[in-house]
Amino acid sequence: MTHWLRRWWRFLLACVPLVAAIVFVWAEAGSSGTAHDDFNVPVLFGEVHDTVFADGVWGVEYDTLDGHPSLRFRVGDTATQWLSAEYAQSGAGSGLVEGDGHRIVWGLIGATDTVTVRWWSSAQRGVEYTSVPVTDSTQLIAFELAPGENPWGVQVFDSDGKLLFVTSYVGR
Amino acid sequence: MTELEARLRATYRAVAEQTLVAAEHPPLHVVRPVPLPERVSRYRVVIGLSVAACLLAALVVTLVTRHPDAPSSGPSHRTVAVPIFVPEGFAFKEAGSGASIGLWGFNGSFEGSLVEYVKGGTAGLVVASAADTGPRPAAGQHTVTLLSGARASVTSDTSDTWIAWSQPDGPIVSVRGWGLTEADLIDIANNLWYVTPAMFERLTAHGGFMSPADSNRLRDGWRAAGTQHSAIGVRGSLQTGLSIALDSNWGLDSVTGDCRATNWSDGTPGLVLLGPGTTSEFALTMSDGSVVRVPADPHPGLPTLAITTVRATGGTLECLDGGS
Repeated sequence: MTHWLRRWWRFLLACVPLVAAIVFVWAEAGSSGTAHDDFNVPVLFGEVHDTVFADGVWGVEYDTLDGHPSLRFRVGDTATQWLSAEYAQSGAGSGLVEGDGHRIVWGLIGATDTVTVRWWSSAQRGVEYTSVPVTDSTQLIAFELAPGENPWGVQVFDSDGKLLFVTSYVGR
Repeated sequence: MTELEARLRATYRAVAEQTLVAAEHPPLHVVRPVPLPERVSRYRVVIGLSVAACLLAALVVTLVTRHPDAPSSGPSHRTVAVPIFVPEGFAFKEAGSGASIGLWGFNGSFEGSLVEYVKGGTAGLVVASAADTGPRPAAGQHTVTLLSGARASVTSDTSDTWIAWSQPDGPIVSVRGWGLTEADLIDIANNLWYVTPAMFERLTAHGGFMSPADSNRLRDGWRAAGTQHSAIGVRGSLQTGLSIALDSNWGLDSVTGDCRATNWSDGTPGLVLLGPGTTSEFALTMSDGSVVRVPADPHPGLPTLAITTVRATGGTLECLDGGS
């Protein structure tokens, strides 16, 4: 009987690294499974209504100035958004939202074509990104901030590389 | 008496002897009573408070009466040139200082500063400046006179044009552009703000971005001598663009060299007189034919713009340069 217990104990010890590896992989998948890499978007226009975490993805819902939720997006490889008519008439906006351990800077731009933006922060100096179309006339851009990263601002360009406008996040 | 009792008695005896010896030692510290200090004189308190009040009053008077917008530095300390006008569509790319750089139109390398703007991949401009006051620009294809009076050397090749000059009492400067005309570059050269390295460091912190409050604030504010009206300075940021501003409600898109007047911003009767940097004196001819002459008093960081103020409501203005 003692011999059998020893063998069982050795088997359990041998399993420890395997279990640890499984837990580590699971934890990593959980922290990055929202695929921020290819679609990092924060939102700003009106007041942030809520931050949501559902179906394994993190997102933001915010209100237009009339108090109705106008847009919700998720940080993930598939994003679901909808825009109110009020927003479509409002042009561009940008903002910084925080929730669930994420900090996201976002911008919405009224444009039919994708626009190029250059993102400036304490970690990135003028790194170029392309917007994501969310309607026929609205482009969305968002960046998730790394821990300790401070947002500075965004430059928005048209397809010819001409500067359209600049938004500063310093002091917000 | 048992052996145990004998040992106990011997121990007690030894302890008693030690105790007696200790009692005979003199005290380690002699404590003497000290009389309490006499009550502090009320006169001393009054005198102390008076001195403190005088110092405080002097500080307040100094803060209230000091020139509120005096520039912190004269021209010789302003060794970095920053564009306050860039053509539409140009975006800030980078800025830095301290490195050894070459200035187009000058021979050699200098420890200087650079500010670069670009427009797509087709156009761009770089403003380079260095504190060295000795070098003169190499002879270019021709020369132009800037609104500050500085003579600048202009050179072009197949793609680039550059203008180089030595700013009087200031740095050496070179503006290089591609995808721009020579007239564009001269406009840029006439719209430079000369700042100290410390001011430049504040402008370039956060990649040239500023908070809305900082961006809207009148920086490097200055008033013409003898007036409390109409402070002129610079507003904006390297990213959103800089502009010359007068108080809070008036601004210049660019310095063009026009000779003109505008009302004081506070609504009281008075004029701000503006002219090219070579203006030494403004002559304002009133409706009755009398002429008021006011010396120009330029901002030390904006040498292409002459400015002063006068208590008048109208007239015909003439900008007289040093030779007139």
